[in-house]
Amino acid sequence: MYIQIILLLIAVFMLGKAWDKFKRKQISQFSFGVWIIFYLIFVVVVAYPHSTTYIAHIVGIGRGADLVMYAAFILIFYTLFNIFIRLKELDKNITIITRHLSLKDAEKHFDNHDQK
Amino acid sequence: MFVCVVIPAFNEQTTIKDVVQNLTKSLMKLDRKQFLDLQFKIVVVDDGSVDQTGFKAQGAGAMVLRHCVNRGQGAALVTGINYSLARGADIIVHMDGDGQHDSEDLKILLLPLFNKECDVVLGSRFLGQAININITKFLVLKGGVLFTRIFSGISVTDSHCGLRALTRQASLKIKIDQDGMAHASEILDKIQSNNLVFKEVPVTVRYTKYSKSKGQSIFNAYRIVWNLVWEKIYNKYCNRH
Repeated sequence: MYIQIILLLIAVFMLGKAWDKFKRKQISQFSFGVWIIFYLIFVVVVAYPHSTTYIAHIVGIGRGADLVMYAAFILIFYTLFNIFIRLKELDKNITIITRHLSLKDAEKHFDNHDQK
Repeated sequence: MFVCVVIPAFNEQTTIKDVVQNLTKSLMKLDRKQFLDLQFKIVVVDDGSVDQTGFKAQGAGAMVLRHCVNRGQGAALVTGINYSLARGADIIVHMDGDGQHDSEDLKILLLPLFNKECDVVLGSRFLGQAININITKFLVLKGGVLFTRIFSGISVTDSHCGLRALTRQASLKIKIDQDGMAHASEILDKIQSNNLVFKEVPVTVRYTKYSKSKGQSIFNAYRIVWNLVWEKIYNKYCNRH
């Protein structure tokens, strides 16, 4: 079961990284908690792959692997949507800054013009 | 009446000088009896051009505002509008920088506003003339007219002409959120939702080899539609404004 060992090592590494970022206050307490829960689930699923089959049966999906795939899809699309909104906001903010700078420049020009 | 003509320009060094000079000439020529107390200012918004657009416009006598990065025609237009409003403009004219529009049309565009007939005057190339227009462009524009009728419930003969004049009050009411090309549809949408009185006048749009190469690819139409629909959903549910 090399793949399990590799995946568990990855999980430990990522948890360590999250801990490090949390300590340096680069991520909030909330997102640190989310990452911990995410990797704990990850660890459980890797250690006991059949546990997913159990949950899959409850929600009416045949195989555990399929459940993981669906969950991953939903997660990815959700993330994509969030990034999309963030990009929109970022775009708007860049426009606001650009406009502000250009109007400020114009003001300076106008003031100079007035003095002459 | 203080008229500000806002011209967004992105890499238009070949045409911008002529556009500004022709415009100045046309405005100077206007009959002062018809256009009482006419004062004007030409505001070119250099939207992050990498060529000499800004210098050429300045040389021709325009006030030049400069975006340090390219933000799109809609964004440039808003910068020009904000500047004009701050300078106390009574009427704001929107015009293209690529020389498609005929500056002689300013007379017919401004007259209804000077006579206080309406809040917004829209130019229409389909009431007037569209010289050298090709069939695909014609069909896409007609599609745009149809889309505008369905999307915004406003009936116009030309939804994306780009030559329009607004009173100060109308400019204050119409907040443009679209940075890209979708602002034309957005303006119409907001004319309708603010119950502004508009009038269409015939204008001439001249397609040259240059303006065709600079102009919008017809494939942008789908992007405009997407942006508009998205913005409506976004504003409705995220309620940022």
